[in-house]
Amino acid sequence: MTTGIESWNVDLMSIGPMYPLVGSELLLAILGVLSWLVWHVIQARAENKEVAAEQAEYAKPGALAKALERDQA
Amino acid sequence: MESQLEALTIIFTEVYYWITVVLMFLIHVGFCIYEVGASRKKHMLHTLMKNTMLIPLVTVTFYYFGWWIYWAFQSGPGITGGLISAPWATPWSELMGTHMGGAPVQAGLSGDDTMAWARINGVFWAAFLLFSWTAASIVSGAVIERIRSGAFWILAILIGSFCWILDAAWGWSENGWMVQKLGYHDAYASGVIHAIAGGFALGVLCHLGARIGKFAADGTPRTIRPHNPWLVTVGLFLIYTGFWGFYVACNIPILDIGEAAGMDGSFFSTTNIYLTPTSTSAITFNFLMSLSGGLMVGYLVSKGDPFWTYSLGLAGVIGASAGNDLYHPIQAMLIGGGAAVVAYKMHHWVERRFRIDDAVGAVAVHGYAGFYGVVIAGFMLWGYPSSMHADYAVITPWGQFLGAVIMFFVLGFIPGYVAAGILQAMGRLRVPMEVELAGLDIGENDEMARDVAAVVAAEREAAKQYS
Repeated sequence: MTTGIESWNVDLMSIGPMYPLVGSELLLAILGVLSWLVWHVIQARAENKEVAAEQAEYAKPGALAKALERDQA
Repeated sequence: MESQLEALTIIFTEVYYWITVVLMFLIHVGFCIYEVGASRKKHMLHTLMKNTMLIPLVTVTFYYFGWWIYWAFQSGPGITGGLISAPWATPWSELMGTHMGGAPVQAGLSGDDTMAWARINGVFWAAFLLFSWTAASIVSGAVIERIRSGAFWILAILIGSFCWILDAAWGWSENGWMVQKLGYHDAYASGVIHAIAGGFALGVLCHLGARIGKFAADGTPRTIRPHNPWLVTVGLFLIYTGFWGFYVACNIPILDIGEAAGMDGSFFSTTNIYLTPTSTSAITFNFLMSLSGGLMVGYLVSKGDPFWTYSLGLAGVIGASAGNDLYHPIQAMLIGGGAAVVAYKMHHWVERRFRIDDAVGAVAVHGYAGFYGVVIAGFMLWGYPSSMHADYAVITPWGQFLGAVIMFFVLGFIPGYVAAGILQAMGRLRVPMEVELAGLDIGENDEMARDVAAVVAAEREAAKQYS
């Protein structure tokens, strides 16, 4: 069984696409675009949560002054 | 491929572009090092990751739609024609994958398409993609130390996979409408990469605002020093190195243009992207001479400031790039020197007048020098044919000026301004003041401090047996 090339002992000039599962390109493109969009959603949620936590932490009295005392040149 | 000559030409071209991609990778390495060096310690990791992650995001989006835009939008659409069919560039095309050039499986592709694109599509796509990274990375430097990563990455995709490649379709292709109608000439991308990215960055900066402490109450700018000047200079050296790849990637290495010129026989030459003749030797002369002009004048106008001298060397190259396929080397040097003055003076004027905090001078070095480079080419190359097509417009100062306006303002500043405005309205453009003051790496730094404290405590505990 093969999902693509069956033999290299053929007229090589007749070979077109060589990747597995030829014919699935549109599905792959849809999966690719969806994964890209989902990545942004996950990233944005994580960043918002992280930034909100840091903002809350450093809004406490004295916290920012302490942070600014560190070596931050 | 049946003949040895055909195979050599095609596989040479394939490997040629592959090498340009490797060299251009150094531009991105350089930008990352430069930005990290230019940022303060409390923002280093954020700065690095912001620029690094544009690589995958611009790459995948350039695969999904950027490459297709380049081929499909060359007529506008609607200016010199409609949307152009480009079945080798859609993300579902069999030619956007491993292919031997045999008969196509998909409808809409011809045997000629597969023969032409099977071995070139990936490397040609990648060469354009590395330009996309550069465009986004130019913006990255300007906005360090206060932009949210997620916001920047959306902006990076907009400039890297849409705006710049649309301008390339229009003005950096054999049959782009700007070439046909305006005689637009921009061989090494003064406008199509640098002016647009600089304009985009300026649009973003208008909404993003200055870093805390950048300006005194009376508007006087303060210098926020790089935390590591050595990294800054090494980064710029790497960008210079990568620019060699950028320049040769702008050429077609070997092409028979005899027939297009109306000759009876063949004439093999290196050409620029417009398929008009130049040589690698010519651009080597002009790259080095324009770099030298920028460095020499940059040193003088900045009074030997290392950061600005290096940056203005780059401005020298960028300022001469539009016409570096045709200039005399001394012309390239003088034009490069002029670009250094324009970039330096404009940066400081805009900074004081409008309180724009361009952290690394990106708008100046890329935007203003790129704009200048396109306009100067209009005067220097006035009357030159823009193309092998005799019916296309010739190069003129007004065609180039209009082209520079399209690059900097229409496709650069306006999209950057609008997109940043939307992100700001959503409260997603800039980090909160507390986080900016504490440092964008504060989360990582706190975690690191806890890790170090835990290990030190464990070591002290272990050392007790010896006391």
